[in-house]
Amino acid sequence: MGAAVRRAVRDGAAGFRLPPHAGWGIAFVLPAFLLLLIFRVYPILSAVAVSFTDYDLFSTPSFTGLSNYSQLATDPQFRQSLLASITYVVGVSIPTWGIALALALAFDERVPFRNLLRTGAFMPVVMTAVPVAVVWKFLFHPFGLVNVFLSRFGVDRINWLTDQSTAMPALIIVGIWRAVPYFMVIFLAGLQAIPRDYYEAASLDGASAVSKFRHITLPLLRRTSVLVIIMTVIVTMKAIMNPLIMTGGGPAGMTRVLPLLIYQTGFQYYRMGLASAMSVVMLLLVLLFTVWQLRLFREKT
Amino acid sequence: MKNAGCSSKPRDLSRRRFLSLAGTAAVGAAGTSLLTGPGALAATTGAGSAAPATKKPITISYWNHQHPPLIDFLKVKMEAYRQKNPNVSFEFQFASNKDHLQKLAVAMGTGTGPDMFNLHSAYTLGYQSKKLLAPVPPELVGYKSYTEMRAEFLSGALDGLTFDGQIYGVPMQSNAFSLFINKKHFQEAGLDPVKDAPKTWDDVAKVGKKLVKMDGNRMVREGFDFGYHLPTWIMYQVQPIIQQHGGDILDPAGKAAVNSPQAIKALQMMQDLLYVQRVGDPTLTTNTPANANDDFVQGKLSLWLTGPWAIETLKPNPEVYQNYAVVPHPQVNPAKPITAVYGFNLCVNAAAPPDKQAVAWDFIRFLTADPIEWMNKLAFPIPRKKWYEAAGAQQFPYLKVFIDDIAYGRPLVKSTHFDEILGSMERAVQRIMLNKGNVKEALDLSAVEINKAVGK
Amino acid sequence: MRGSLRRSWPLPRVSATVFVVLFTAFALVPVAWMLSSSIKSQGEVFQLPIQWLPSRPAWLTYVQALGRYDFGRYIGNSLFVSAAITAMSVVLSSLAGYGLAKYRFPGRNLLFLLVLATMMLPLEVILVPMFLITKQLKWLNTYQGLIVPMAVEAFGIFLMRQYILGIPDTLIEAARIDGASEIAIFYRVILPLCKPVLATLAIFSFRESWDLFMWPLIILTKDDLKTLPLGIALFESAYQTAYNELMAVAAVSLIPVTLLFFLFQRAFIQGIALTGLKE
Repeated sequence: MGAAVRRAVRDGAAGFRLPPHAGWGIAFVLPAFLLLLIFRVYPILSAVAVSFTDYDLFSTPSFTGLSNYSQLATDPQFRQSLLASITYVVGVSIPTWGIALALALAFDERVPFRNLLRTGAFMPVVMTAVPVAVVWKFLFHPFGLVNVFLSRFGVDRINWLTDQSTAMPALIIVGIWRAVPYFMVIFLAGLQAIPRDYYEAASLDGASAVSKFRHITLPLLRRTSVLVIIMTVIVTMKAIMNPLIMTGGGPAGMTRVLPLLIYQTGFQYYRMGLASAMSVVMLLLVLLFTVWQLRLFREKT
Repeated sequence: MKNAGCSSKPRDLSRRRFLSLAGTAAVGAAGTSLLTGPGALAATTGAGSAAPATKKPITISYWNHQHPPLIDFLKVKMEAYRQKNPNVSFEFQFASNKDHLQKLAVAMGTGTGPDMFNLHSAYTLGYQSKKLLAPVPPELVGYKSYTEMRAEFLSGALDGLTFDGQIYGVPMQSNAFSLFINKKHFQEAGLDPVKDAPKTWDDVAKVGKKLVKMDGNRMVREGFDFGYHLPTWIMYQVQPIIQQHGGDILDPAGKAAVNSPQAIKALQMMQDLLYVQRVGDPTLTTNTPANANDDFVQGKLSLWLTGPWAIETLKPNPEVYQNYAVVPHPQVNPAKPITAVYGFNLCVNAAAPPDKQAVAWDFIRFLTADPIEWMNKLAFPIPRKKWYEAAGAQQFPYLKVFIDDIAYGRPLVKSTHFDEILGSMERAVQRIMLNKGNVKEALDLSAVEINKAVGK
Repeated sequence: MRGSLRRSWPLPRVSATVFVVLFTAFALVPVAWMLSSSIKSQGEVFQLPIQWLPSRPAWLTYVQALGRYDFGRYIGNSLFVSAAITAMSVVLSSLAGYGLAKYRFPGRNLLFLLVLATMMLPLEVILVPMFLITKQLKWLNTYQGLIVPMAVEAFGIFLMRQYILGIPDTLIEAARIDGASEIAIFYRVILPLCKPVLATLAIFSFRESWDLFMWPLIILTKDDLKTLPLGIALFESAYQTAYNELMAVAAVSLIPVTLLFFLFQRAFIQGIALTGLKE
């Protein structure tokens, strides 16, 4: 039927005909979309508009064209922040994807005390932001637990949060700690959608566990996988609490990720126009990545 | 901290004022010095007098930052004020420093700001430049004119609040840093806490070195260290040291002077304290913005720069609380002492309706009438002159040291881009002190950032 | 028979147990420290080397901490607000996810991208315009102001869409042929198959809304509607913070989300057997 529609549209013969039940599709989406329109889309458009002005939160803004953007192009602080963000996102996303998937698979097995262990593994997600940052800051103290643990393997003392080269790795470790359980749960949910029959059939055919993993699990987890990849990037790109509380963006700006720079620029320096421009750049980067990923894993409908 | 109670003796009053009080009717105030403070003058003057012009019910919204002793004190005061002015009620909100500032920024930016709020002295210039603050009407806070008000306050105190001849807030707390020392550590090291207390930075190096305690090659007790947990805190320390060396953050033309030879010398001195004389190890700190004195409180540090309010924070550790002393801020040249003074001020929203503004100023007058009470209950020096000479004030430990350091205090760098300057200096200090970076390079970079921010 | 067939873990089962235990230990260390801090005295919290058990456990810290501010009210507000947001989120996201997954209409892909884009900016950036809209609706200092702007997150829609994409179209076609209405299809065919993801969505929505801080901070200027995170933040004062009390209240705030997760876990392990539906 789809081909007929396409033909009709192409020929222009029957005029434009909507796909079947299109109205229902729109109806299902409408309530959520309306809320998003009012409380997200409109404010985002507002922020984009502000990025072309010199808005300082208090006075009437005046149009300044692309000057905010050209300022960003030559701003070393913005470059440093961009680099910090990309480092953090890549550093957290890739291990998180791998470990979360592995954990979901492992938890799918008949592990003893599974429910309890799974709840325990989920705790990093449950803890609220401030205690997480305070606790980890303390654990990363030169005499703290992390170094005590590492010293058992002969690693010398590391000044995690004051040394310019180790502050970001510390943040990344905390980021992974926080993100893995979150996405493990999503992978678990996705795993449930794979019908057991496939595995039964494969077993009857004598397939090995590795083979089942490669030929059943991985392909059928694709949709979930795309979700996880895109969401880890979105979530880590927005992360602000840990850098804010653990390092304040330091030392020397090494952990001053984009959301932190944007917050400081807008709410502390009152350069809202500039902060909005930064946000637009950030939005475009994440959007481009998302489109790329969706294209890669495009549904063959 | 001993509570001197609320004294009702006349204090820092000129003869003229004292005589005018004699005719004031007594009002049953809840233990405040309303009777004898400057506010009483307003009660007897005519136009714009202390009692709110309106008698209709009026609600004043007041936002403050979170500090439990202060919040409790404010609540008591608001209740006392309400008793005297039953038509006035308060909507009181408080949040941690950072949240308070953010909430305030959004509210002021969307026209929903509170009628009155407290504001750190570093932000008053920024707020005033955006026309957010109402100028103080001197009569409403108890003075005949700005001249009289200025004469009443310590010289640096109103600097950060004065623009184009008008004053835009009333200080409720003004601090400089002084040097806290741990007497027990001194004694253990064979030093005399009185005679050997450091006066100059050279002394800090010498004495600090002796106070360091090592365990193998781990430093388990620092002799002296700076605080790095907040950009403002870093500035409180760095600015006076640069100025003591003859430099400044901005030159008279408003351009960055942080990479001048004097400033470089100052930061080099700071770096050498840690890496040459080895009096401390900055990587060991457990101070946080919400727990600023933790190293000293835990006894892991012997010499520490902080303000009078820190005494209260020593209480959880009796061993330190019973063994601390306070000496003046270290100087390059003790004959020409320089410190930095900062504080919190009570400001009124320029967009608030006039009747609310009048009540707010009256309440502010009421609130700040008795500096002795503020010092004894909160360790908050209100930077007015002479109250500290009264008997009631003398109970506060080391009062003279604190007051002297405040008197030598220069206000923080004045700029509408204060926060950006702060951030830049913070990064420079982190490079220099935490990562042993090259002082000149770090300061050159900071100068570039600062000039960009201030538009030079 | 469930679980006896090794279905996805490609290595011996023992290794799964070891891996899981290792990670869970890693996950729990900070939680353990948080709990241990909550029964220490204020000065002991940041002592090094780390002491796991305080010399004298101060269980009263919990009572002290909860009594310091109006936590009964804050917790009550948080429960109500989070439950409302979760309910709205689950309903609206599943509807929208289904619409995006199983229906075709012009502009669908663009709409999906737009929906995703709404979660790519941090809240701070859109805080002021959101505040102004809420103010215009006269929803400042109201429950609806706390709930409605947060009721839909693009993540929920994304999650539902991806999951529902995996449901075979044939099921829907079959139901249509049987004469079921579109709504009935959603309710009777799709939703029952979505139990794992609906449970996931509920847990995540509840957790996100439980943690909301900046939004309530900005739109609430009265105490009655304050939520738990705002209460916890009150412990952070200008000069000294009683971290032991802060950790105690933080520990209490863990309970609802943990409970929810523990109870909903069953939905993750149920799985589905599609063959059963063909009948």
